[in-house]
Amino acid sequence: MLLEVKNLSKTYLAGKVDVKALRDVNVTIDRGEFTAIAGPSGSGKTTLLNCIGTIDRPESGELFLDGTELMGKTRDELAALRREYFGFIFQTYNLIPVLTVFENVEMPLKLLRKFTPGQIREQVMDMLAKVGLTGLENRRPLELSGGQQQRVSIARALVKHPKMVLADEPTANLDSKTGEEIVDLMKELNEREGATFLFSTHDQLIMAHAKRLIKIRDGMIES
Amino acid sequence: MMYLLKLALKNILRSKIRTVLTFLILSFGVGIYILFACLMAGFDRESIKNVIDFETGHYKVRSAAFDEDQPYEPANNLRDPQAVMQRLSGLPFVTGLAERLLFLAELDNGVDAVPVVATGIGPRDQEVFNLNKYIVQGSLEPGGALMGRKLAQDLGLKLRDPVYLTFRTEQGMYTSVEVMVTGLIVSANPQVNSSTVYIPLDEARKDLDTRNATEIAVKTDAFFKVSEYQPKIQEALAGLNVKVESWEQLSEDFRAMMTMKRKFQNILVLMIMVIAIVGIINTMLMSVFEKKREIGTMKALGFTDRQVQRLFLVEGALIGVAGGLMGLVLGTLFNSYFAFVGFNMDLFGDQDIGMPIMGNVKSVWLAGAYAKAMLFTLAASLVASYYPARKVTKMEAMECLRTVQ
Repeated sequence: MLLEVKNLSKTYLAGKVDVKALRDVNVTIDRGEFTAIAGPSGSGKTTLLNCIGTIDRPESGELFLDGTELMGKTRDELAALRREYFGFIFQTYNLIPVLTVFENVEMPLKLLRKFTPGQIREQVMDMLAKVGLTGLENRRPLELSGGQQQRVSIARALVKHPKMVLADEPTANLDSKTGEEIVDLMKELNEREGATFLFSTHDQLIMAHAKRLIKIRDGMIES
Repeated sequence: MMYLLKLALKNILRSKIRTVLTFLILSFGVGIYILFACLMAGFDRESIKNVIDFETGHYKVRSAAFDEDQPYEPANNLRDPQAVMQRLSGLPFVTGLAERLLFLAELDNGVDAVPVVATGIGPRDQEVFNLNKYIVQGSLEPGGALMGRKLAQDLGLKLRDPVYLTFRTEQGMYTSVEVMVTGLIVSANPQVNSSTVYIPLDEARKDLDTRNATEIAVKTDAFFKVSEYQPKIQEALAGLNVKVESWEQLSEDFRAMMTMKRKFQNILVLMIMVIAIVGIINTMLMSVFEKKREIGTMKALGFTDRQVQRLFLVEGALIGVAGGLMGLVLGTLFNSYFAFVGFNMDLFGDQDIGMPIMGNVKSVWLAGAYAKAMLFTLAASLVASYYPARKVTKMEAMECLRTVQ
């Protein structure tokens, strides 16, 4: 088991009203899974992904990654953990606009401080080839289409070979054809690279590609 | 660190107009400061030179009983100036001596009369003072008088006109002598221009019926060796009942003015710092606001709070360093004009600007001003970036990512 979520709860303050985004959620994810968290808008899927990815703090519950408890860790420890073990793909791509495609993708490797510039170049170019962006490495994000930007985002998430890739509605901003291409690409990388994918979606077509589906509604897991 | 530097550089180049504006404000402020500091240093240098060359020499020897409140009273005069001159001549570092006899008089053109300070100057006066430099017409001749051009204008006098000097002798008798205007002077000291008359010392002594002198000015081989030479001069004159004062002691008012100018300069530095801080805080806060989502992404990718904070500090420092360096270039350009062409003090006309300077004054190159400007700009940039950087540190990744941009 790669990830274990136990009784996770999270409440947001929306204006003056408390909104229960997650209620005692329990989930387990095994290594190499390609799992979708599905649910309507506001069901808590993004919150669940963010809590798993340690970029949001749950109020209660337990979170284990590879048997290591994450809840008691400091901000710096969590940053180190994200740097090492998680890859993120965002709905709005969240690429750094002043950096080129190459520079965006190399960022996680630079942060790891494990590789020489030559090794970084090799890994980045290899990953860009895998996501079909060879030749575009010197472009800036705004010079690319939405689908291409999401491919860059995927390359950035996978370039360091993380234990888990968390993707929050990765196809929501794309047309259906491009969306399917992106999910196909994620699936292909899941199979070829062995990367564990956990992604949220409310799109039926995309859900159909998932090997496992976790349904969530009103902050609770349905199945 | 190199990676952060690269990211910071790309970030500040993103909002070019805003960065350029902040950078321009900074560099202009630094440039103005450098110009001001160098120009003021030029004024100071010229002022000191003028005070020494025209008013004080390096030292003045006066009677121990000299009363500053009544400087022209005969009781203040040195009783045996020859003995003083003789002893001073024996000191190896003394390069010039000048006797002067000062007394109050009335200058009368036959219609109007104005009070003046009459100064008898000896033949060796030029060994210490550079009076000739300020003579604009004629010279001091036997039986003649050299006076401020303004004084001559006030009394409607021109060269070769006769005037009367009325004064009291040391014995208290009122005497009037006729002298001829033989020279006009324009100095940096308004008091000299409007109320001083120079006559030959021997004639002054004869008229006043005295052998005394009010003061003996001394020039040495180094004006800055005050602490070394002053006790030696005092020692050489032991027993003559005289006091020795350096140019520094004699120009306290002027030096107080210099101190005030320095304070003003510090206020200027402070103002530059405030401008720099406000400009950079504004730029950085805008930058933080604009890049909130990027900050969230970076935190999600594994940047620590400290790394993100450092990124913003580096951005601020880069703007500071670049603005500071450009300011040094601007300051050099501004100052070049005044260092090579000079600043024409005649623009102030006859106004007393509180500094004994006149004519064309050149500014100097002040390495200290450059260092100070650069140091303060860098410090201001770091201080200004600290708050926005700290704000970034406290932000949660999720809070940043939720931002709609």
